[in-house]
Amino acid sequence: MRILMGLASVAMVAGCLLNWDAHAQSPADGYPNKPIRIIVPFAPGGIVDTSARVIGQELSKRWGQQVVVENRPGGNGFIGVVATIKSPADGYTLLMAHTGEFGVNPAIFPDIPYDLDRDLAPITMINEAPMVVVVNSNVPVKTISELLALARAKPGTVGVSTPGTGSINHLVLEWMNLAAGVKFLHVPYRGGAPAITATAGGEVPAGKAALGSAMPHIKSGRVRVLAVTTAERSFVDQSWPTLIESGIPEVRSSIWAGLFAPKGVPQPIIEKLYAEIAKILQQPDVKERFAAGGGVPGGMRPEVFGAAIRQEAASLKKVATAAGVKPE
Amino acid sequence: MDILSNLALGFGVAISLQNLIYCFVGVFLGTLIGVLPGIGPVATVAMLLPLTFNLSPATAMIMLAGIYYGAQYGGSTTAILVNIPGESSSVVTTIDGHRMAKQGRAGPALGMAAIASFVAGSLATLVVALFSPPLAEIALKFGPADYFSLMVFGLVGAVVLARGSLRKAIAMVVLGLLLGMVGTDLNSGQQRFTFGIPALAEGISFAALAMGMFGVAEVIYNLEQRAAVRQVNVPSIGRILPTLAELWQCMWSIMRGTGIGAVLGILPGGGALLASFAAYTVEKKVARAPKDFGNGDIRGVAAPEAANNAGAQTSFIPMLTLGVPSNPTMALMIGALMIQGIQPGPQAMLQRPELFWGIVASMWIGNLFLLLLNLPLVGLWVRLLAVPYRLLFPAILMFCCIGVYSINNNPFDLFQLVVFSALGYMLLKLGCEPAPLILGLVLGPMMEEYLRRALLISLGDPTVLVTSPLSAFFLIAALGLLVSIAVPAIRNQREVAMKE
Amino acid sequence: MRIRSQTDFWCGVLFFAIGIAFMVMARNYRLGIAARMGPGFFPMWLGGTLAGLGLLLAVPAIVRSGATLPSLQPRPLLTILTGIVVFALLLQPLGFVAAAAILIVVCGFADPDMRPVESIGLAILLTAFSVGVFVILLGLPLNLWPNL
Repeated sequence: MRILMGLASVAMVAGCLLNWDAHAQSPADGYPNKPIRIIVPFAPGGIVDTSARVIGQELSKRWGQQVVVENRPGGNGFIGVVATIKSPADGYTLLMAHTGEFGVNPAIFPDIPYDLDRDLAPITMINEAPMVVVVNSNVPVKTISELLALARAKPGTVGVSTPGTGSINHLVLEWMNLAAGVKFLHVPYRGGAPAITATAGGEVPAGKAALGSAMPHIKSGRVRVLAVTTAERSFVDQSWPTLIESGIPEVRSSIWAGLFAPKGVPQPIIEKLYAEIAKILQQPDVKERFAAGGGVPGGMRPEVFGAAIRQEAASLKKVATAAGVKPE
Repeated sequence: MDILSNLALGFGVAISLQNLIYCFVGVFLGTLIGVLPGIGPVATVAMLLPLTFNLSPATAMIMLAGIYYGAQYGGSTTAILVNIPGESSSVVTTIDGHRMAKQGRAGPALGMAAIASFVAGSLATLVVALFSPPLAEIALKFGPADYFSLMVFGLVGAVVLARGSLRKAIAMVVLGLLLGMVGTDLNSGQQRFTFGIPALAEGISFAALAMGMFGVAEVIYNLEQRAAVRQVNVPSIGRILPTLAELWQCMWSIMRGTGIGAVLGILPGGGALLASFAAYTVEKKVARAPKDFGNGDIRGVAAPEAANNAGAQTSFIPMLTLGVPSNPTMALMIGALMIQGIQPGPQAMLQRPELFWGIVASMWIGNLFLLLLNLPLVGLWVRLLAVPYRLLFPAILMFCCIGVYSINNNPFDLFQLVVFSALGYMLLKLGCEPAPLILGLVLGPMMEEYLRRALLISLGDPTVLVTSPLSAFFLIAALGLLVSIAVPAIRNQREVAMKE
Repeated sequence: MRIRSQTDFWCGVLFFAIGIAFMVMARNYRLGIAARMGPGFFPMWLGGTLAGLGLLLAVPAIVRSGATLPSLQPRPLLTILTGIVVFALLLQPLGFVAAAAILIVVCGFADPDMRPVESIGLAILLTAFSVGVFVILLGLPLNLWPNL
């Protein structure tokens, strides 16, 4: 299979080389004429990596160019982002990043080796999914206000599992603490799956996780959803209230994956990428794939996407400062 | 009977031409990436993920599962031939397996690895078919205190791995635990011992350490011996397959290994990792003439290989029945199923029985493919050893370099390889064996994580470690093991002292 | 005084030094108490244990007889480590093909029996083989040629 894909791409590259002279006027004409790589600042697996592979596959189908996903994990995403911004700004190196790199990192790290405005050009949001607040189904709590009452009665003892210290789920938990004036016991895990499994097994009474990681346990009835963190209810189950409806109007947050280019990529290329990806995100099969993890396709214009990230980063920064979330 | 009709349904799915082909492709690719150091099943499954979108869920899972357990098979080949453990589970195989290869018995070692894996894989598949739902519940019952005590037990067992000095083995375990501390502390987010290098924030690269301390250090050591002795040392090819007597000798080792692997494989978070170590430790304790262990005892290949392959099969149990991934590869497979619109879990088993039983049946077929694929390859691998070493070692180095780099695509990992090659060489010269260190490295962060989490949840009450029956059991077992190691060692030392 | 078991002694010294080094670095991290451990708790105790084990190895080695230090041959060690360092430095700027070929040629010097023809032949063969398996068959995202 790999061989076939390789051969096909060789043939395509050869084809493009023959056409080399015909185009070369606008930077977007003839783009792409060689393989594109999408850098993912994580190990394979997970929502961001999967988004990159779905988009990569569709782009290469439409453009006849190979799209290679390159995982550059490590250092809270620093390594992958830095690798992107150090690459030539020609549209052949893109970055698939998520809330963590541009919402959380600037909020909790005193200095980070990149800056959204200075180093990157947002293209569009690919996929956005809610986080959920869940309890183990044996815990006699049916609503957020009951959970908050429990936390008020026994401050600092009601455990909530999250996928890690300094994760978006942890920040949103702190945000809930601040907004509702309560104190949960934060129990961090190494990633979403072990965290939600701990709540499903009853090790920790409550949990805070991406909807996608929680889904198997929601379906099996081991955990109960009390609220989603997004401003609107989720299409997965319209009966779950939002935090806003549950009496914590301040908190709204989501986990998104989005595509970026290094700053300096010619605008026509950004537009070409945006236009093509917006079309891909309309495809029913792509929508279905994202829906499996509770996600909805993005597709907003680059400037809208950029503004949304900046707004999110600002509110997360306030939370992190007020709650004192920072690496020791 | 229910189970028979279910299995019939499963084989009906698995035996379709398309599924047979994809099963073969999976195990073939798995063997290939298993043989090549560094490139693990996680990366391969992730790369193939988009290709599975257009396959039926059962076909996709059959292929991806084949890659996963195929890689377990393949990993033992490199461990035996060139002393490079591709994954932590094949570290133990290097101890006796590579020793056998050096004695010119690579053929029987490889053959035994394949046969033990096949027997264990087949039996474990049966376990998956018969006991999945009840076993999955065990996985959920394991709390942080239980895991911590299991890790303590595992670490005590690591000391048994050593051939030589007990004090050196303990020190190597502790050094491994310390190296495991490098990286971001889970509870506080503190960066520990990273010197501000972002690439170290997620810890030391396991592949760089394992390949440096085993593979590269071994190459340097061999070249040095040749420079000193100046003779070409080609081991004779010898037999290709183990004899019937050897098979008979290993039968119970394989059975015990299978049992240990099948049980530990179910535990998410480190259980499967311990399987091969635990199996080796048990063999060394129960076997007759344990002195041969570490000097090329074929039982030291059979037991851990059986254990890691049995564990590879049963690690599907929590994934298929609960939707709980027991390792990163399983997490990817859950992703693959969810993209297909299937939520792995109890509902999926009831609503899509053909999927569950199809995968189970294909596991057995896949194991058969692996045996048929690997036994003829043994001859080829063994002949590879007859290639003059000066032509072989550059290839080993190159594969190590590519493998280490390809995990994170970061050249910094190659510098880690250099550092650990030098450290490994130095320790080798000082008579310290690397296997206990590796187990310490892998278990260290988990041990700390589970202990601190147990205390966090209990609000600082340390009695959780003994009030949980599972935890108490493992602690007592660890203590027993410790005594059984320490008493003979102390007695030996006294005898030596008396003689002096 | 002559040290009688040299390998054990130096091994103990090495472990002692590493243990102390970890303890010194761990002082920068919050220790906490056993019931609520800070990030420094585990490393501090482990470092202390390793240092203690080092002493247990080194001190008896002064009087108890044992192996002398084995002789060292610096050539293979230095050549091979240099080869890997060069590969790491060249891989991204020069691309995989050039870096891999250079790795093989440099490592060839580790073995005095290696003839130049063999070394170059191996470099070509192994590089071609790796490109075939890793890049074409397995699809690893390796840059083959220099980034111009």
